[in-house]
Amino acid sequence: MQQQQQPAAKELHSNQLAMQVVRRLSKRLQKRQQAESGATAADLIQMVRHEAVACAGRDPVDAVSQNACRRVLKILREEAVHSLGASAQLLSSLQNNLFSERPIDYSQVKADSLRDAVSAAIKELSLELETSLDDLRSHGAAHIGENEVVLTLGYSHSVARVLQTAAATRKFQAIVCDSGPNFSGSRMLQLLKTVPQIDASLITDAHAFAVMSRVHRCLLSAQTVFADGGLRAECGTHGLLLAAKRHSVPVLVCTPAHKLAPAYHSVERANVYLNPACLLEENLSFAEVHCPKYDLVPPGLVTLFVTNLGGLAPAHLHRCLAEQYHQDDYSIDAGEADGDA
Amino acid sequence: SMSKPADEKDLVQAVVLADSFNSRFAPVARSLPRALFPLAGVPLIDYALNCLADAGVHECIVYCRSHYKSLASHLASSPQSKRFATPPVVRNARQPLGDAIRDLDQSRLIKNDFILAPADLVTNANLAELLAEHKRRRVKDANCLLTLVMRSTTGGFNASALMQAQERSFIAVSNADTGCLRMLSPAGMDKLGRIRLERAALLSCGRSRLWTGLIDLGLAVCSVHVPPRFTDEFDYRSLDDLVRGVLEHEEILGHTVSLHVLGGQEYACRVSNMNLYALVTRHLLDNWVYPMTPASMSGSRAATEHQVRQRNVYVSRLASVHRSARLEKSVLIGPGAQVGSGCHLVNCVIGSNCRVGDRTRLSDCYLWPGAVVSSDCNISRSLLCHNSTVLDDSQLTDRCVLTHGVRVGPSVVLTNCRLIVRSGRSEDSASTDEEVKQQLGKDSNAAVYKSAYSDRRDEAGDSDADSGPENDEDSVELEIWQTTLMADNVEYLSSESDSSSEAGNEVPPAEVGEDHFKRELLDVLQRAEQDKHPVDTMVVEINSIKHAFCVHIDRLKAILAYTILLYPLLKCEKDDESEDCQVEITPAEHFSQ
Repeated sequence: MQQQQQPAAKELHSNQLAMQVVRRLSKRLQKRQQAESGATAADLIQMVRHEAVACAGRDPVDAVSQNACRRVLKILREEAVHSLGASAQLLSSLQNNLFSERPIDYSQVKADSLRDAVSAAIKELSLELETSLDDLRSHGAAHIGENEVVLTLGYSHSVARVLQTAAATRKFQAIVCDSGPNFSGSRMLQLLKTVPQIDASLITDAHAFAVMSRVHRCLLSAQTVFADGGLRAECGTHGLLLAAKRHSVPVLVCTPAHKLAPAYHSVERANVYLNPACLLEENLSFAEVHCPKYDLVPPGLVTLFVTNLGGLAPAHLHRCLAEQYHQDDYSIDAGEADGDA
Repeated sequence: SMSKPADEKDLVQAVVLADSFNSRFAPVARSLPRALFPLAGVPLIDYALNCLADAGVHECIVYCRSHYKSLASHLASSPQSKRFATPPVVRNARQPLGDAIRDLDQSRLIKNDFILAPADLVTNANLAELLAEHKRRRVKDANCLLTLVMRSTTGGFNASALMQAQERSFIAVSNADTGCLRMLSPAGMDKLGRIRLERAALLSCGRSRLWTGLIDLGLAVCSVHVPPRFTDEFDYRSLDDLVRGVLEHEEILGHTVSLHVLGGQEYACRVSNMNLYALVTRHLLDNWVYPMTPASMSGSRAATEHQVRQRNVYVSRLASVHRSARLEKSVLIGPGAQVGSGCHLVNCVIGSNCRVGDRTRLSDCYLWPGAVVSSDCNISRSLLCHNSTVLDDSQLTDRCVLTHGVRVGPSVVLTNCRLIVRSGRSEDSASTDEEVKQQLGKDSNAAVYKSAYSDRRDEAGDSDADSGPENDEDSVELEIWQTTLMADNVEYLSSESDSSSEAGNEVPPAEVGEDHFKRELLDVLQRAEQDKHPVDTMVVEINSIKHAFCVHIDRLKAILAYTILLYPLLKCEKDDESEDCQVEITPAEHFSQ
């Protein structure tokens, strides 16, 4: 129960969470390198993989911590391959996979030789995570034009910052869907009302289909982005995206790149179910009441992913994935295949 | 786990009562205390401990009467007890609540306002807030003795179902502004549908609020003055006595009781009978006690222990479920369980290491660890305790209970509130062998349970069903699924204490009070005869030892009659000459209540 109470106490943005994980990992790596003189890269990689499994164990819905572990693993593997020298294998890429001969043996590489390179790379990674939201803001703001009507759902830190940045140079109208049952949309409305250039208004989720024909763009955020373009997003997003598809309204999902998970979308992915008492107060004993926190949106509904690395079409998500994570780390702990990415 | 605070004023303590002193779960509770019943795979007391730990309680004191050893060993190893600053301690209490609190006062364990909770309480209420509110109230009004917490059933989703399963409900009148309680009485309507309110209570209240349909949770936030109050009034045996005493003698002592009513989104329920057990399990599986879900409560690797599927299906990763088994909704499958092909499960709890055979249909049933159900069975609304077995092609419908180690034979049909125990351990074996074999299957080792009291009830009045309960005041043992409750002072009748000595568990070290009382009574009679006391003196003496030993009036009548008839017999044994011994038997009006 403690883990469920923590998010209410301290709301961490996703990049702060990722940075925490990276910092923790780098400390552990340093300690390990200092403690054991005979440590090899394989040991370090194993240690980080265990940490990723532990992260999944603590909170199956949280993909950001696991992704941060995967980034660190990618750094370790790259540096290990570099230190093996030019005579070692070609870096695995889409073309080279067909032709590479021997799998890379990480136990040949000593941890000491990696120390400087890895710590420098981890510093770069932390910097990238820290500035991810700022980069995202500037990329996202470019998509909103003058006098456009933008529709969004609930409260999201990234979307709020994107709208604020866009409002610095142009005027537009924002319609916010209050997402029940926690009505985070009103929080978003309060924030947007403080910005003079934005003409903000609040509607219910059910009303979204009705206004969709007047909307130029949908701007949303997601909790996790799956590798095939599916999303795990706030409850109500799926309906909104179906309405947008019906009216051919472009949908932009603003997420930093560390929310991109290598798993594919499935309705069996982990979800959090909240107390149904917040939905119904009536005295009905025959009804089955479910209150999921997230929607698992199938792929094919999003037009563009706006990340801190720039705009990304859904068909090119795999390229971003390949740059960020190593192929071998796509599935960590195959026994958890049904749980989460 | 948190550490003990430096300042004693910040120490938060809780007292958990692990014995309800009634025998609702009679034959099942013989070998397993109610506090350790698995509810959705987790022992019942863990839910109360979880809630207390979330409220920030540092220290927990658990009181129990029987099954001391099993409770102590569970608390030593439970993951919930590790969340407290000091692990929970178990102490003995012979009589309900009153003795437990007197023991608290004597041992001076209580330093601050404390939370009093029963072990079978399942709740997600915010107890930390309740405690803070109580402290604030005490700052404003130092006479507030305790805050009684009850749950209202007039609003809220599943409230009506809870209400129906309860044995009794209350109505209360409290001050709308301060929450100070003015009147609390069991709800009962007369034939015209009216309820009785005390005029004095309503007049003396400021702006009053009437609560109906309140459910007693046995939960209260007590101030540090409650234990001394119990020691002073050695008559008090339960929280009801205390509340009634405070309300009646308010002018004398000036103490007040406050009422806090949980409602709406806060879930709270005591698992005090079998219907409630079924209901609370259902609510737990359907996520009504969020954030206590079956996934979060079980095991150390809580979040990944269970795979959560749609419609509240929790399947442990260490269980093996056949692909063709259909888990329709609200199912919990524990580690090590096996579910065969073609099964259909709805609203079930399959404990750890259970086995369910092929083509079996289970609905609304609860299998405790080790239970085995063979193929082609159809079980609904039943409880199968540890290591019980149901052989092939059986049907158990409508509220059957199989206790520990029972085996029920192939192709048997059991319906309607059958309670099956192992033969040889059941108290009354009324049925012959052939009957049993026909009823329960040829491979069974079981017998239908008939309690001692149900025989008497059958003889007394089986003509009309509703005059039966009124006639038989002493009937305690109810069929395990029934909830119609009879007299209230049945609580300490000794069926449970007999069973504890049967089970061979450690009996509390203090002397059993009744033998001592009998000896004292004999002494009184002897002295009275020798010194030729008048009847009034005898009456006064008997009354004083009644209060000293805290004996109930019904018990006193029984023991007194017994002793008076025994006395001449003993005298005859002592005297060599057989004289006619006569002892005057005084009428009952002399004895005060």
